[in-house]
Amino acid sequence: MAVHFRNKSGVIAVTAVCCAAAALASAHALLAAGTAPATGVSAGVSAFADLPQATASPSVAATVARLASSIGMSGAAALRELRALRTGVGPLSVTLYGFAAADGSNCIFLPGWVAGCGAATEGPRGTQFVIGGGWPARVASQTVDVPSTLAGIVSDDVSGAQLSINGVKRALPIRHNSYVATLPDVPASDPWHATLSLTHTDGSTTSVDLPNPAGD
Amino acid sequence: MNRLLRSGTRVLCLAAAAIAVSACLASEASATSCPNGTSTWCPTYVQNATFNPGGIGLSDFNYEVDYNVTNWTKQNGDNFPEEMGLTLCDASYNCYSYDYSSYGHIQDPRSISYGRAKCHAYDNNMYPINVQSCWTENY
Repeated sequence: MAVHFRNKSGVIAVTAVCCAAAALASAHALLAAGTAPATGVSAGVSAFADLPQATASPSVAATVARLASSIGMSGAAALRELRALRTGVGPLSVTLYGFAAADGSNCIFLPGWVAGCGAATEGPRGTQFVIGGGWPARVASQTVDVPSTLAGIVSDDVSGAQLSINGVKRALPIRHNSYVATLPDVPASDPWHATLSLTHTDGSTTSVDLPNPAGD
Repeated sequence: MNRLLRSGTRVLCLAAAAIAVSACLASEASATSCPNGTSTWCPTYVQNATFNPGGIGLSDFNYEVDYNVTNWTKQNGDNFPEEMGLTLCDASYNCYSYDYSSYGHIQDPRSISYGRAKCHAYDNNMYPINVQSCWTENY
């Protein structure tokens, strides 16, 4: 399906309200106990080694080229390491791509929507994520309602993931060290309490506060 | 397309907490070359700033704003979940939904026919973050 994601004339009407929930992470408890937890995905992401090289369209290859230098890779090397972590993401069936350098630093991206790159240690324990997309149909000239999408990777020591938004909980299946979830379109003026909860193989948990993409 | 091409770029930088605590107005020369070879406008609208939770930066306006990028780091190590967001806004300050990430390098490849780029430290971040740069371009 050929979909043109670029918006050339429309914008979203956003009500400027910020939510006030506190960010929590089990890292705090571990720090209080004097134990330094592994942060980000520094425990390893085996999917980057196990999956085959992904085929890149010209536009995906261009994105890889733009991202690679941020983690010290050449575009050619990054293309060799490109992996399709998830396909069929969201109502427009996009692919979550990722690639990693030898030191574990990595990039993940949803083409045309969002990309993130960083060292393996960045982010809360066990995961690194992006939230992208977000062209609600209320935007002038938008004919397709593209919801925001949460996409992330988890390290090998994560055994489960759960997303809770305004009290509604759902399990996030982990495949190829990745998870995805379509986020509800909640106006910034409405309550938003979203938490990503990870369960680690040692039984500990990590909770990450997630922002409302429609926030101010 | 009648693009706005400038030899100099005025940058409005707002580094603020949830309630604005500081603002700065700065000017800088536009880069002589942009990362994308076809770009002629790629201002760095925030450079080496501290963003408290809720802090924002805004670029100048232009046509066909096509890319928005930020590089940032935490001040208190990786143990705390901080996040940064990017979006594009029109002349009336209506903005797309944010692209957020826990990564220190974020790219927002969306575009807007006329508007400006915005970078934003998540309101619920626990500590200030160091924003090395927020920059945008049109092409």
